[in-house]
Amino acid sequence: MNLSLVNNSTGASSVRLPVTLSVLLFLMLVAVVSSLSVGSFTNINVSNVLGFLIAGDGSTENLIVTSIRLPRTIAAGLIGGNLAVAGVLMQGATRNPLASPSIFGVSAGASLVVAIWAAFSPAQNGLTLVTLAFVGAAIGGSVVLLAGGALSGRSNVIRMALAGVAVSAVLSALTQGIVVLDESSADRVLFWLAGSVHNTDWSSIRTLLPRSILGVAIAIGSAFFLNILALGDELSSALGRRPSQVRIASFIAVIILTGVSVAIAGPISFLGLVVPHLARKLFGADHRVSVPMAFLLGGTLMISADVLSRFVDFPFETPSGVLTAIVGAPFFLYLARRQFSSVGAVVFNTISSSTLTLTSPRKSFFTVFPAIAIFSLVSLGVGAVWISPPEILQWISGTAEPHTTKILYDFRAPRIVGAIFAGSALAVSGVLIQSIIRNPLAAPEIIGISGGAGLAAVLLFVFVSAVSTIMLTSVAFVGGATTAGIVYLLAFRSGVSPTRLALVGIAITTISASFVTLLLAKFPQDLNVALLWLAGSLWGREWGDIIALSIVALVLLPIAVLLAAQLDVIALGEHVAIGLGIRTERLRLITLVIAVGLASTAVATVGSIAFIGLMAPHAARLLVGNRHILLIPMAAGIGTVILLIADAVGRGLFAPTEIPAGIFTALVGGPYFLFLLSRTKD
Amino acid sequence: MNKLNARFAKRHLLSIAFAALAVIAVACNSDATATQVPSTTATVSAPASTTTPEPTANSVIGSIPKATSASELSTSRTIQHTLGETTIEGSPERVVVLEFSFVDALASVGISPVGIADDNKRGRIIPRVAEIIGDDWVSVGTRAQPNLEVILSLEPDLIIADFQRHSAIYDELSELAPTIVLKSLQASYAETLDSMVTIGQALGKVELVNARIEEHSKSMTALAEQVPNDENRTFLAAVVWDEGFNAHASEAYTMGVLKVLGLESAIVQEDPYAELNLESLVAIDPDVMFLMVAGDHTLVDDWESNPLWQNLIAVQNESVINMDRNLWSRFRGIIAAEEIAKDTIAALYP
Repeated sequence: MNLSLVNNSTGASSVRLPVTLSVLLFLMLVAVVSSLSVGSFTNINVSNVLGFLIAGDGSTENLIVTSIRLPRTIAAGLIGGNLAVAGVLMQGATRNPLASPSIFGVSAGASLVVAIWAAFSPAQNGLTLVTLAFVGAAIGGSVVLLAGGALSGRSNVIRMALAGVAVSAVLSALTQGIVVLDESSADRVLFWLAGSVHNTDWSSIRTLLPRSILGVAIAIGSAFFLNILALGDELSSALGRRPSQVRIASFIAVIILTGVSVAIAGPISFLGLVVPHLARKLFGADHRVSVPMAFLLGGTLMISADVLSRFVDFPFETPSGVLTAIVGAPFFLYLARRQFSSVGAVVFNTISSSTLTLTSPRKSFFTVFPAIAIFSLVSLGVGAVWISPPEILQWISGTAEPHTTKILYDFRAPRIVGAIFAGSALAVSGVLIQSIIRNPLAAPEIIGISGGAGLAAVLLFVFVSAVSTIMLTSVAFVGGATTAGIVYLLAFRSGVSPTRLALVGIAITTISASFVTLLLAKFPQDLNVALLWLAGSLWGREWGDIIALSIVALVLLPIAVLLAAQLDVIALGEHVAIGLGIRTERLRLITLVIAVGLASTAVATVGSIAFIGLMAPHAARLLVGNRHILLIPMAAGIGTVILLIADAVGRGLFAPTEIPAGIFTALVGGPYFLFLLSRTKD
Repeated sequence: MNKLNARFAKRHLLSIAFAALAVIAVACNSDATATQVPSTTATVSAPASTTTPEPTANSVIGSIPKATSASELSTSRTIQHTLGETTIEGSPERVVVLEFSFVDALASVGISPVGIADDNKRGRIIPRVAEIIGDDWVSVGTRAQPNLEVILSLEPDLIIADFQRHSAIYDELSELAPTIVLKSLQASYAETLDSMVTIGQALGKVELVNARIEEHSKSMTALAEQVPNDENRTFLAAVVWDEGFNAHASEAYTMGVLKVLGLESAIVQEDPYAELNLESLVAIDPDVMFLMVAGDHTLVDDWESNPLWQNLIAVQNESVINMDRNLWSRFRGIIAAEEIAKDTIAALYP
């Protein structure tokens, strides 16, 4: 799985180094000088800036330069450098060209902790925000790295990227949930979430500098060993270097570098991804050179992004994360598309969770489907107004009181029917996508449906002040389906390689998520309502709202079952399927269209409820095995049960306050996903 | 840099602000009489309680609809609101409100809602409003996701919802009770007064509400008169926390209230809020700052050691004043406006 990132131009770079380095240093100087001269107070000319640095005259201009712009510039430089070095280390240690802090859960972990802090504003407990963000970043990053198998070296590109996207999805669902539940306290974190150095001062530098030096020192110290690691684990072991030790050292440095940067500036997206690639391109693959060069390059880019961000909404501040995202996102997409074009499609031992099932399929069906009926009935009783089973029976026989009838028929029944169709649609969509991508960790979220629908919904809320349900549903559907289409087209290169589809999907999902964050930062007032939808909830759904979902589910679910036999064959492998006369490309397209139709409609109706499309297919595989004819209905049943429970718990737990169902599915689904990840083999 | 030079912009004269207010009031009056043709109830009740509503006022107002319930048909009227028209009969007594500004509107005429979307934090009702409405109301959950079942069980005869948050559930709310949808979350000061008039029509208490608005504008005028004629300082209100300084600009609700007092916003722009750092604050250099502090430690604590902060005009003149964040940044309405205005006058001209 050596991913060809090492053999880019190793020879010529040593000759070019002095030239490239001088150009870089010159650019850095330009960036630093502009950062010191340009700003909202007044533009100060260069000679004055130099004068202030050498001998202060105590004027306001002088103070602006020395107490605001100088520490801000140094902080930007250090943070950019740190993130770039962290990216180099992550990519080197995991041999994964997509590894970087913002994709691997580090930023999302920090964001969640800060949102919790803002919502609950703990009294004096000695913990500063910086410490907390640091802890959050460390936890988020460690979970992804461990779950992705980074330490064991079992990791591969997809596995790690999937772990990153999944962990980020859980963490951001929770962050959004917290902001929804306590909006007046928590919405002030939205600006911070987009990432900016505009409020750094000398005390930030005191926090930043020692940790940056420590992190970069570890990075430089492990550079030589990373070079050996690049040759492969076996060779590295043979040369007497235990790969796991090198990885642990690198990850400690990564956590220090990104933790402190996120704590000071908030999550800065994509910088840690782009710069390492740029550094390798310019300076070759030798980590002893690329680590320090990436630091300079990252610093220069971050300072430039910060300077440019001052002009976006002059004279007010705009998060610099906006600019790094605009530059970084297309690059990420480019990388994701390029992967495997040389290596060729990597065939996964997909659907690994065994052909052995836990119980007999028949028994499973007899358990799950009655469970739906029972949970539906229980769910009918749960809510701010508790309705007893006898009363429910009265309602069924038509003799209940008008109030009870209204609550059951108008409020709860549509939510239950909505949960049944949305749960089934998401689950079956997951089965279909997993069988096309031939990866057990794929899900509707992964191919961009939820991300695209979310971005479309947020844009709608920015431009339209009162959004009706129909408008929201249609726009979200179009957003989800279009995004899936774009993912398919971008992944298409004389056929769609499953791996490229997953990677492009992950890229698009990450990009949508970062633009959603930026829009939330820029228009927090317009987006209170959007946050609720992003978290995913069946609150307030009436019969009219679920008609479209019901029709789509009733049409597409049977079609999915009809495809079952062909999907079984394709699971045996591309060559077998073609040998048996199946037009795999066409089958993939049809299946994808059905999967996208189901998931987009479900997401449009109930919001981006995470993880059902991932969890349900797996649980179903454990119960009934891999035959799609059994798998599809069983997954639908399990998806339904999960969503029914999440909805009922969210409605009843803290009534009259509703907790969005998406928070529960994320809480259950995230750990389940990581468990799956830790069990799958490459 | 133009946005920042607000302090040099022409001063908004007190009289202009009040002319505007008067126009609004008159316009609304004519509105009211037009839509509420056969109104008998409200006119009867109006003289009873135009002064500060006291708990006893409740019972007075509460008794009126019973007296007229026989003539409900004659009081049927159509209310115009942001999502269309709603027909309301009689004088609603059991009102459910889904935003804080509507609580304020009811309280200002002495009515207690039966249900409030209070985010499950009863403490967020500002004291003066809480005194009026008492504790005999039920939380209907969060403003983002009010609980329809609880609303139903309260058997309301009027629901007042927010345009931005609740448009999507307007149909469902309308099935529970006549529902009017008004701007609250993003409402300016003037829009809050507009909403107040619509609420008065919906309640069947046009005269009472108009009298209250008049009283409000009188008390605002009285407060404004305490502002010296030569007051030409610029004012900035901001929410400060550990990671940010979120300033309220001229179009924000708070600054709308200060404007009526004749106080000029330091930032004049369409967008109601602006994120500042110390450098942009130095550039704006407001004469007076009102800070709404969130948390134990804020950015300002860090800035205090910086000479740039110390050199700000507001800091030099000891005109940095901490204000109640709940009142200043969450609650909107005429009682809230009066409280904000009182706080301001008390702080500025002791």
